[in-house]
Amino acid sequence: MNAFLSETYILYQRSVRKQLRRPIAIYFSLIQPVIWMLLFGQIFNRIAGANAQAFGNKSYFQFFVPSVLLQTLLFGAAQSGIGIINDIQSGFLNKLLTTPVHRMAILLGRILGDLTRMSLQGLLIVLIAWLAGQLQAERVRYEYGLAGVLGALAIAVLFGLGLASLNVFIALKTRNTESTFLIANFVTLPLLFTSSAQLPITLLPDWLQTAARFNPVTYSIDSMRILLNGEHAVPDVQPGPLVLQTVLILSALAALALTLAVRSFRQSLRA
Amino acid sequence: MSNEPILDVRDLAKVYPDGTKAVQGVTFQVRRGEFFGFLGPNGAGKSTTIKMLITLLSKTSGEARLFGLDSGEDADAIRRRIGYSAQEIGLDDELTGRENLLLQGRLYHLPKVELKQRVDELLTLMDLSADADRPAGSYSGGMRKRLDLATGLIHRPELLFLDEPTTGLDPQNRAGLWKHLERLNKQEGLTIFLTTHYMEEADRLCDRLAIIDLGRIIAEGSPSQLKAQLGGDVVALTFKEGEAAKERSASLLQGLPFVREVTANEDGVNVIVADGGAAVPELLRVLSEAGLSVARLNMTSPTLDDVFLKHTGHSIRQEELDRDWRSTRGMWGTRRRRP
Repeated sequence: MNAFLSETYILYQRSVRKQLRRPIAIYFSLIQPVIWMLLFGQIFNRIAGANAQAFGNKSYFQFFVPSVLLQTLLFGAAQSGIGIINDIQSGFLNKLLTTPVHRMAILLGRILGDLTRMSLQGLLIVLIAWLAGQLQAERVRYEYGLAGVLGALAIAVLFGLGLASLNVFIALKTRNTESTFLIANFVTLPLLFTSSAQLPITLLPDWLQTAARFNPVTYSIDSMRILLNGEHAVPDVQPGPLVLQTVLILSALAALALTLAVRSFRQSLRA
Repeated sequence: MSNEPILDVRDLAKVYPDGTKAVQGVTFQVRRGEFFGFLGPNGAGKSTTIKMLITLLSKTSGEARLFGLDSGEDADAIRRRIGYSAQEIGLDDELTGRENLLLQGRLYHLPKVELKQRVDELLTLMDLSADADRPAGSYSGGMRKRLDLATGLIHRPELLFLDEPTTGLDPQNRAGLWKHLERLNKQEGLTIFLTTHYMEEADRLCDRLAIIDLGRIIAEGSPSQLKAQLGGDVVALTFKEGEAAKERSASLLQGLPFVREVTANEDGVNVIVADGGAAVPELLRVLSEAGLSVARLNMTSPTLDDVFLKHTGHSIRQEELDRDWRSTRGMWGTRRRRP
């Protein structure tokens, strides 16, 4: 067990070190979200003003922060899968497999590295939003301070765990970076547009409301809204139970995706 | 104990799920300290065999024992004692040379101080000290190869596996790597198992080799033994005395202990000997003592390609061309083409 943990840590370190060596990738992953925040914050702000209650009495800009955070994770999700394909194609994975390293340490080290990237991205977005919010007519204010921010990040990371695992699974099945990228993006947009990311669920057409209620993105974003923007951020729900429900749903999905990833990894090893 | 083979393979076979019979029952032994090679064209089953031996691929049937340990049951114990370096270089291009070595060494749980020393030692050995702190991605082909070899040596393995180690290298780097490998084997006593489709490589490096084609071993022995099967080197002689000398020289040379056969050719004789280089001075001495003067001498040695040709009816070089479209498969099913 001890060896397993230290091997996981060694490979986790490698994954983080590689990402820090390409800081430009993280900067670029943030440029688009920031532009969205500023742009959408302007475009939809009157709608938020006219439907104050549905938006939890916040500006559209602040309403939109959790959506941008989750979007960033979703758009970066393919990276988790692409990393493992690169290791397969370069022969690095085979090299690892000839050492006595615990097989699952390879998978876990990588996924933990991805979660670190996601946390960092999330933290930066919350920070940038807060800074940008200071220049706006209505300042951005996180109701529960640091505790709320960390809570929202925890939700994002739990979501990210499922997402990264799913992408590793897709990558191991396709063995091809282009396909992995395509499938990841194919799933991303529908998930976002059938959720409460752009508008509160109560303002969506009926059929879309139904779809949104089954979408884990809706649960994640609504819970993050509550944790960042206060108990009235999402109308017509009980904040506590919703957050608890979200944690349970995301945990179940993460467990499922992780199981799929582990199984496909084991299958490749048994070739 | 030292007489026991370090690698003992019996009837090892691999059938891929799609029905491809990549390896069809190979049997061979490698002794401690030996430089052993698998020579054959791409698609012959060399990589598949090596991947089964290094525990990356499961076998379909047969048995492989390394250090007396079973490749299926004692995989972890085996992994601690073997090193591996392949044509597909297993480096992380974003890490520096030193970091690649440290990462690999830490996965073997080498103590920190010892690992640091070992890394410096290997960097020096492979002439990489000056570039140790540059990303491996910025290295030249030859440097990458040497770094990859070093990562396979970090834990002082007893048995090193090399899968087509010089494929894709230019002649200069290839010769450089050969020197490194020879030093490891001769000076440090490292046992090496190598696969290659280069005859010159097998001929120069291997103490003993098996020639493999279509998943089967078709010949085995030292390079000189294998070539000797073809009858040996041919020394063609013509004489200043002309045709007249043919018969006299033939009966004279026939009696020499190292001469296998003497046949007449158009204007002289062909003398077949096991080792042409050693035989020529002796032949010349005997002939001049008998008063015959040689006008022209031409020596041809059989190559391992001739051995392959004899057993399969086609040449490795031709195989290479014919099978260019065919790709060999790694355990991950990645397609790999010859460069």
